Amino acid sequence: MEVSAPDTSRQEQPSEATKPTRRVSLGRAADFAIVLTVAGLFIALSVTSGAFLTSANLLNLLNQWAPITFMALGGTLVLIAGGFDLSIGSIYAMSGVIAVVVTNHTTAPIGMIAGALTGAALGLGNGLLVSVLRMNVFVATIGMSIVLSGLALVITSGAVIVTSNLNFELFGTTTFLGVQLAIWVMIVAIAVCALVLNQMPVGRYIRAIGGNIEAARLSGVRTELVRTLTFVASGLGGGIAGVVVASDAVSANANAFSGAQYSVWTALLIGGNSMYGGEGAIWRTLIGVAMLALIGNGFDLLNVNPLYQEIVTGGILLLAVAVDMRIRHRRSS
Amino acid sequence: MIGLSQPAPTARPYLNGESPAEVVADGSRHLEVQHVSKSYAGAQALRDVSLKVAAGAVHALVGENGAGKSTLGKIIAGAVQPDQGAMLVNGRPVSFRNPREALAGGVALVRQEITLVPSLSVLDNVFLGTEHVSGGIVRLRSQRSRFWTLAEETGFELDPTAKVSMLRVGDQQKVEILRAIVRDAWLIVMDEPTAALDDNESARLIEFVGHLRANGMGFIYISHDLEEVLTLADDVTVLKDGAHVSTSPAAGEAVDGLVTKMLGRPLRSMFPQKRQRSFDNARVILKVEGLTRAGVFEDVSFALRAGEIVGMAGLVGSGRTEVARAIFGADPCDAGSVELNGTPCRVRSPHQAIRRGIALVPESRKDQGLIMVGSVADNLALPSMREMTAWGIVQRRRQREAANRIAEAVDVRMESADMPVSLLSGGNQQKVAIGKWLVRTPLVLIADEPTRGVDVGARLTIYELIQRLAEEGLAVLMISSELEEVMGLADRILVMHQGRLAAELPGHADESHILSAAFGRQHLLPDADL
Repeated sequence: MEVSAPDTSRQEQPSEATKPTRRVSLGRAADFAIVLTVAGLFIALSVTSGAFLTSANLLNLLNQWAPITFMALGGTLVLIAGGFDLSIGSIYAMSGVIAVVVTNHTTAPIGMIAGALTGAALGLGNGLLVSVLRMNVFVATIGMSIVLSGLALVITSGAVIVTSNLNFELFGTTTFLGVQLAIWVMIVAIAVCALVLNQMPVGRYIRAIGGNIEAARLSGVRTELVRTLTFVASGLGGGIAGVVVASDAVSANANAFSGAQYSVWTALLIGGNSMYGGEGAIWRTLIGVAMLALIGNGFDLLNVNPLYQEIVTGGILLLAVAVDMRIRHRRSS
Repeated sequence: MIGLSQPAPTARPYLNGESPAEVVADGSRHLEVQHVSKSYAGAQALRDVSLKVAAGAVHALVGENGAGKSTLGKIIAGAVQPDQGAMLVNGRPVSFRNPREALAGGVALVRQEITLVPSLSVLDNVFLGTEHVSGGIVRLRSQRSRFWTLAEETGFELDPTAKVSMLRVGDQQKVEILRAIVRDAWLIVMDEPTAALDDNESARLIEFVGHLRANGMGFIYISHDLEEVLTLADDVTVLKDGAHVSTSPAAGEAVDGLVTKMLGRPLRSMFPQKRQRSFDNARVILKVEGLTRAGVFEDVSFALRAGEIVGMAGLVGSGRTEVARAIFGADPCDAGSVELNGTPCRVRSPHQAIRRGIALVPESRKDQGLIMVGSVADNLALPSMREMTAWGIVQRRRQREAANRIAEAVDVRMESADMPVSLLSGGNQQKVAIGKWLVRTPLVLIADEPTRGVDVGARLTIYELIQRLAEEGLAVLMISSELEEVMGLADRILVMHQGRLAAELPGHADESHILSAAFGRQHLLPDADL
């Protein structure tokens, strides 16, 4: 209700002040819980497994999860802008395939760049479907996904395609200061995404669009352009991930995407980014990836049946989304 | 203003099989609200309000926005639970925990927002949840025959097979009313039922309400339209700032008296002193010529001068908002031209309009004006991110300073600029929705319903703000459905009717002239050359 007279507003301010803190506290508690869980997992693994807290294992873990991180970073921008990229896995697979094919016809650098740009171009395609043709994001990206899976199978004839170009092994062999190249690229990608989202106007626009696209448009935000850019970022993430994985394996596979895309979506949501846009952060995505990585590594190191890993991860995902819904429900009531 | 037809004396009773005469005569059906209080987030919406309403009568609730009318209506219909107080139906205490329980007690709510299932047919909606079923099968024939009986009794002309989404709002309301009758409701709470209707439909709705009343239906009738209330209601209760002011027979009330009770003071003191000056020699800032969007508005021409507040009146749906959106580039238009400071201003998006110096405060701040999940500072800065940026990086200090400066200038009551805008009161939200355009002063400010859902105190602040901006040389176009607002503030008044500019009147024009033009009664206009 409205506050009209100044004297009543003064009375009401304290009570209005207590209300928001109480409302926010569930969100805070959830954030705290997820950070605590990741920290707890880290400590538990350090204690229970001697192999865990070694630089080799940790670097290996980072290197292994770098591709998921590339995709999740772009996915974060899409998600905060109120979209969702269901085609990310197919873009990733397609980019790897293109990288290998182009490498086999030209040189490794050209192949790698072609792979990454393929991802960006496919992201642009998603963006145009959504913003110019005004298609629903789920329909547009799932359609894109189906087309790409088919196309990748056609290109590879359903087989694993390999390259004998030794230069293509870049991501499998290069280290700098003892740290794998993919990890360095990941650090740069994280920095760029955080800069864009938190420090640049386009980051504000992304949040505004996710919060209320019509209000953003009426505030002068070029909503179609910005939404398209988020899909380009997501596609580029998929492209880089595809190149890195293909380089590591010196091969590509049209069916490589299925596991990866679930990891990306799970990481986005368990970190506490909102399904409904407007709210989210790079650190949330990173926490989400970290949790998946630690759970996976823990199951490996402790020799637990990997099937349980999926049950646990799925359970955590459901819990995270349930908490998000609960927070929203409280806020709106 | 709107005539009420006499209820048909032969109308058949249909409420629980009792004859209306019985129901009304022994007064057995009545609802009493006793000492009800309710607060939201610390703000008192209702305090110690009591009320009594009987079947077969229309009890109107009037008051300013935020006076607590809707809250009281929702409490009666179970949509909101009171913090304190009691409700009695036929003398027995009840507590409705939700609208379903209220309906079981015979009380239905017809809201401002229609709550039907748009993809289902009229028939399906009317019987939704109370289908005639035998052996697990819906008996459509039985429903249909019941529907036709009801349609005949109420006089509603509705096609039972029509999809609800295809109906006009007025017909959707009829479906809601039928839905209530099918559930044996004897009291319907109607919250601003005519707000979204044109005058023709309003008149018919009022006719139906009168007709249903004669058949024993009771109404809580919440409305802004005092003339309508005085025509229709048996009793009128005035609320102000959540408190009960008076309840009296409508027959003994007049509009002026009600307004004074609602505001606690005569109407005219609501508005800042009007400036007595002529703008004939002022520079033309915005010139609109022959603006047309097929089927929406046609051949709209007017000019806005520096320092001038031009009010735009007209009924909801007369094309006012659409004209504003077209000038702002939010909607396309088919023909016509817009000039800004003498140069053509053909904008294709709000982005371009804003860069040219046109600002729009849209009619719905929640859906169009503000990012509700964002902070006050983010909302204030959004249209002016360029000003907040150096080397491609947003300068937080600059943003904070701008936000605090604007918040102070428009008097936003907040704890800090970092708090979510959703936690502000409606009035303060609206100040943010206006203030976001003032970081970089525009040439033209278009404000669409700038005080909708805003409390009295904030209203005055907004009026003063609009006048202050005009004095600084902005050209202001203020669209409003509230005539007092247009008359109290505007230097010149444009009236839209069915997509056309029906009249251009001086700021001191009186209410009847504006209304005549708004309702399309051209012949009543005194001087065509005004």
